[in-house]
Amino acid sequence: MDPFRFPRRMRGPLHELHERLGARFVDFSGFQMPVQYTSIKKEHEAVRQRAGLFDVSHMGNLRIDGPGAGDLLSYATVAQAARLEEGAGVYTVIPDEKGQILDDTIVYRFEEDRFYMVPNAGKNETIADHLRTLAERQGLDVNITDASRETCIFALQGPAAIEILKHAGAATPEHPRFRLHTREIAGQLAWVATTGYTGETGYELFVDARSGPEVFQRLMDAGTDHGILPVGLGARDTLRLEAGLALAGNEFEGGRTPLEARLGWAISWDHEFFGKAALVKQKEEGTHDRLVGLRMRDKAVARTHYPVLDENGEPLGMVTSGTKSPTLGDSIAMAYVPPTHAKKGTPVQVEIRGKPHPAEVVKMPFLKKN
Amino acid sequence: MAEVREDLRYAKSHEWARIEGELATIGITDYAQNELTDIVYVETPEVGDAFEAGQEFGVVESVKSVSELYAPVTGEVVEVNEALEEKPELVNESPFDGGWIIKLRMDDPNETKKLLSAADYRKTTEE
Repeated sequence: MDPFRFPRRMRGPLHELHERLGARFVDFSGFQMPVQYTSIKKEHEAVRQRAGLFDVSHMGNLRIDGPGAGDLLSYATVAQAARLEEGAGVYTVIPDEKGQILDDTIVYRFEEDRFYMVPNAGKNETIADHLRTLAERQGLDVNITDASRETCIFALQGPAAIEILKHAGAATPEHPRFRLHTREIAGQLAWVATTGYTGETGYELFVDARSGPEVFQRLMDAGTDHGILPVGLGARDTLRLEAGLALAGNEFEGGRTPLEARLGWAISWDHEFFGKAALVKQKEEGTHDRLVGLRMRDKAVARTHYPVLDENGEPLGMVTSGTKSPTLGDSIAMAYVPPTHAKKGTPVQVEIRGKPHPAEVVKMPFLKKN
Repeated sequence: MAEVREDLRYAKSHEWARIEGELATIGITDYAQNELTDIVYVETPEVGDAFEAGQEFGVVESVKSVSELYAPVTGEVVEVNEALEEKPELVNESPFDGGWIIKLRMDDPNETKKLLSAADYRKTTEE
């Protein structure tokens, strides 16, 4: 076997801190990000049972300001962003004219005419350009600023997250979710959002990049008594998979609509948005692929791009994400299949290195949490 | 520092072989398991399968990766470590003992001369 060698790429603002914590790095959209510090399994368990702290500063940050900001975001996403209250956010998708997802994101209304959006890593420029094009087309007065390089984003997730944030002097109620609060941590301004990507209680925090290392360290210190661990992208992936959450690069690869990707619930149909006509048509026709959960019935691991077959070995679709679930001990996956095979309990097969392995369609999330 | 056992022979691709007469017990090294970290699955051949030296005989999977295993010598599989099905993490915990993967009956025990000594293998990991 060949151990991987990673090329030198851009280092994030917390690179030295991660090195000191023992991180192994991976290139993610041009940034060197920690994939694990200790073991993916241990980090995963820490989040499920105690708490974990993630540096997700490779994600984007766009400021959308001006009198037309609300209307622009209502038009550009499937949500009615113009109706958000101050301090409220919404998980949504940004479709192209075919209704296919350009990115999934969370949009927050900071103030009346000031919005904030977190595109996925590497998407900030494309999305910013797309928003500017739509604003111009709709004749909306909007100013879009890319603050990605100036912002650090951390996720504090796990049952102990509430206590840890309190200990760090930034106590924030867990509910309602998708709310943005202004706090101070280690004397630095932090925006604390009641959001997460793990299926656990927790928060995502936004700070100025210059305050990043200090705030991260303060949170680690505040969490010591609770058994906090720093957590990398490896466990981030196993956690979100168990929670049935999509990873844009996998689940939306090749062009998928929210109806295909199990995100139809996010669509607010009673407003006009870019790509709506295509989605209305798709909904009427109803023949589109569906994203489903799979549970392998043997020990083999289903992974991205592995073919999904029916019981007779005929091709059905493709695995988009898969792993051995650290919490369940079984192999779980997400895959696109035709609507005929999308019902819970449907037996299918996953082709792994040329051999079919039995699997079953199951509901997502794979883990039931509070 | 990864452990390297003196009494074993090594392939550059990080497999080790314990030679006992015409039998070679094969696994992956401490260095290799440490690079992979949490091993979640080991795909093994069947008893009776035959492999040439350098041929792929299975796969070891971590959470994030799938890595091929290469036969260090030519031979026929006489035993497979069944414990790895339920506990693939044995390869991490005990790469040279409980985490052994297959046993081959060698066609030509002289082939082991082509493998690396512990000292030479250690050097390759330090490059």
